[in-house]
Amino acid sequence: MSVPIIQMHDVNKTYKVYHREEGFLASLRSVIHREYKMLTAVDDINLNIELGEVRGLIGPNGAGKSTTIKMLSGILHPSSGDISVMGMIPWKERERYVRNLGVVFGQKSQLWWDLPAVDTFGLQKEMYRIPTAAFRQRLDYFSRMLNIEEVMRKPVRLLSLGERMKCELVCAMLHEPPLIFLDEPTIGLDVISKETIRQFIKQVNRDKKTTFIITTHDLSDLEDLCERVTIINKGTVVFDDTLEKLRVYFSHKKVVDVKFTHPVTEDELSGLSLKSFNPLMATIEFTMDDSSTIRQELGRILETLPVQDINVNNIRIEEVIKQIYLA
Amino acid sequence: MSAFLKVLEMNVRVFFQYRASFGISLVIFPIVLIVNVMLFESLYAYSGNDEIRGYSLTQMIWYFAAVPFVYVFIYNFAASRLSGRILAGELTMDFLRPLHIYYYEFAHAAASRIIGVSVEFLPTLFIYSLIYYPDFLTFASFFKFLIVAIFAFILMFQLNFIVGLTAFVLKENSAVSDIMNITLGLLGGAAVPLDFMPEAVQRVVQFLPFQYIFYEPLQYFLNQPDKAGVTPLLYTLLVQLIWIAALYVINRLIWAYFSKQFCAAGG
Amino acid sequence: MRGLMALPGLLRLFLWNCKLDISRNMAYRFNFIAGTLISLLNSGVAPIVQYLIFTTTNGYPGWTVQQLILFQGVLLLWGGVRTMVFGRVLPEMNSLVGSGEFDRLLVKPYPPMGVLLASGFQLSGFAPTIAGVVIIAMSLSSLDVVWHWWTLPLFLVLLLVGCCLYAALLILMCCIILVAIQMGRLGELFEKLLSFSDYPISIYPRILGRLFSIALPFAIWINFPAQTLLNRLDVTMIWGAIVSIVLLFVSHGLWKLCLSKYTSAGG
Repeated sequence: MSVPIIQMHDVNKTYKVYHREEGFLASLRSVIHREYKMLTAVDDINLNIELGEVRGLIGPNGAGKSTTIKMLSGILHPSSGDISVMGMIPWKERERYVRNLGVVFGQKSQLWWDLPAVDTFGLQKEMYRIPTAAFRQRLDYFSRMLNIEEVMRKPVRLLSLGERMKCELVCAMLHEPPLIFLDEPTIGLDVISKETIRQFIKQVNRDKKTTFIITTHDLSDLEDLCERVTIINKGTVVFDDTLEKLRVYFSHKKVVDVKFTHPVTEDELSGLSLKSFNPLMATIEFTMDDSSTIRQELGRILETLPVQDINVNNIRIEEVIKQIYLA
Repeated sequence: MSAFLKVLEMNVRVFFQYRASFGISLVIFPIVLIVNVMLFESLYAYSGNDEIRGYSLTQMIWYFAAVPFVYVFIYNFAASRLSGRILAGELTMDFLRPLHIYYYEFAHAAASRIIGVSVEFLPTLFIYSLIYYPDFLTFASFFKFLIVAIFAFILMFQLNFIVGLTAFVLKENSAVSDIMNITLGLLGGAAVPLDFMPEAVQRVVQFLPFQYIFYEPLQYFLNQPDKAGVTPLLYTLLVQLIWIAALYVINRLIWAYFSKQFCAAGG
Repeated sequence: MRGLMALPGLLRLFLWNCKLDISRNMAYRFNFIAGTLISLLNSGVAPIVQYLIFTTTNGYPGWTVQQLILFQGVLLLWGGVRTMVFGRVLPEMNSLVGSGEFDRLLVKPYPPMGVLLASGFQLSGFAPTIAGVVIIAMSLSSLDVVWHWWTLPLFLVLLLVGCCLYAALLILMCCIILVAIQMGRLGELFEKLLSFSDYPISIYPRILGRLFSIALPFAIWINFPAQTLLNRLDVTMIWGAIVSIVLLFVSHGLWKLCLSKYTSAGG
């Protein structure tokens, strides 16, 4: 049993939120004394990630995701608990540690705006001391996979969002870090670009056994890329298992969309769990358990209501996650 | 080191893209010269002296005309760049880069000055010389000026870096920048030669770094007699180096302190 | 609302902008105090420099030290007034055009230039204005000048006409910004050109002196008002005033031309 590449043990992060006052003199005063309150961002998190995994990390805004990622990047240090990544303590040896890390932040860019991406790649080469032969080889490999041979020679400000994201990805991978954090990598992209990038991530993960941690709000990213998913809510881990289990968790919940032949009143639908209703359409949810079968539930609907059309679906994964967020 | 050079090279190429705005200086600067020529010719004629406070007419005109030249050598945006990122809480990239923010910003500043000196200083110096010939200029004095000016740039960068760091403490630190500019003007020789300041001020100014940013480079440019030979040059460079070293240490310490705070406080 | 009919409305708009800027400044009370001190220091540098240079020489032809102090007072006063009344005009125009929001001006029920000029109020000009008044008062009391019934009214009229000339030049700059989409360093050029007026016109050779009194009457800002206070009237002042007002109409006409080109081109 190999040692996980990331180990977080009983990690806590609370910090002081300072009351920032307006005004020049007040700012000067604040050098001597500041008012603050304590905020718990992360509460006893335990997390292990294996080498070569593609892990999804999701949670509502403000749940503690970015705090966790920052601690794993070495930008933040925990109030208590242990973090070990690739055998190093991130914030203690930050300058050595970040040489083995690749990061893509969806909204922040590493690429220089006025120059072609290939110039920023050259900078990465110098900063991470990548040998020239290896650099050329990797650049070839990545640019062919993402089809950016021409794109990378145009100034970044002229690129579309999809093209830019591809270049950002290459930027983060040129020094072949064993661990890569992707924060919202497909945000704002069209369907085809999303597909290309996901394929790319999967390919690199296969070829180079790179570990990926992906924070995203896009659940189709999750479904396509991640085997395991960790859900963080209110600073704690509320789910840490495979995606399959997540689906199965709720697969006994069904959602039925019904269209009626003539308007019905809400009374006639009493006893059913309604997700939405208007006199001509309704969305009904039901849970199958020991006491009922699909035949019984659907039978009841078909017998008691004037059904014109009916659609039966599993509860969508968005619903699942929403319910977890709200719990 | 090679990363630093690469940042330098990339900055040069970026600035090259905005070359259009540099042409304007060629128009602005001569106006400054013309106003000064008229002002001082009239002043000197009326005073009946060839020399005022150790400056000949030509030197006096050129002192004020050369102040913008020194600006071209030294100004940089380090203060506003740093403050902007600090106030917006956007230091993440700076922490994830395996190149210390100090050198990154220095490369930026150095690159912008290399372009500025090549495109603004040299052509304007040439044009000025056609309008009012600098009879004091020699190769040696010009060369000495260049060295002192380069050191002045490094010194100015230190000061700017500190000003940028005040953003960790002050929300509105444009006031600090303004105070810095006024100080450079009055105590640094940018607004008026220090020889015109009252005795008391001149004595205090010796202990401050500001005169080594404007006044001293200008003395070398004007080839003043007390700057002849090599000894004065070595002395000036030594003092500049001492200030640079002291401020460098302060900068690194302040940054280390506040960046730790930043990392503890949630970034 | 066109032409002179718009004037009362524009004045109300101006006053409203004043109130807005004042309350905006008051919201950051401590910044305001710091900012006031700094703007005072800033505008004080030039007068201090002139004083220092003046007192170590024989001064300017036709002006004694005391009279020069008065001149500096008027310099401060004018600088403060023009900042207070017009300080935001160019930055506002630059940002409107730069961000593509200039069309906003065109849908207001007043002439666009009127709206723009009425939005120029900047409170930071207040401190230098007061400082200028104080210095003028102080130097008048130490000079032996006869005060006539027309001294103050004439002084104020010259100030008003000075505003007209300044407005004329601002309008010209706005035409350039509208056509070129941006100002770049033209603002710097503008300031440098105007710096001719910071010195008594007696320092300039005769031809330039005539230029600055009549054709391009920069002298109307500082020189003429200072002369008025010293009872040194001369007829060129009338010419200067007339030309100033004419220039206002000329540049306004140019503006209307640029504007019609802009609107016909689809903006």
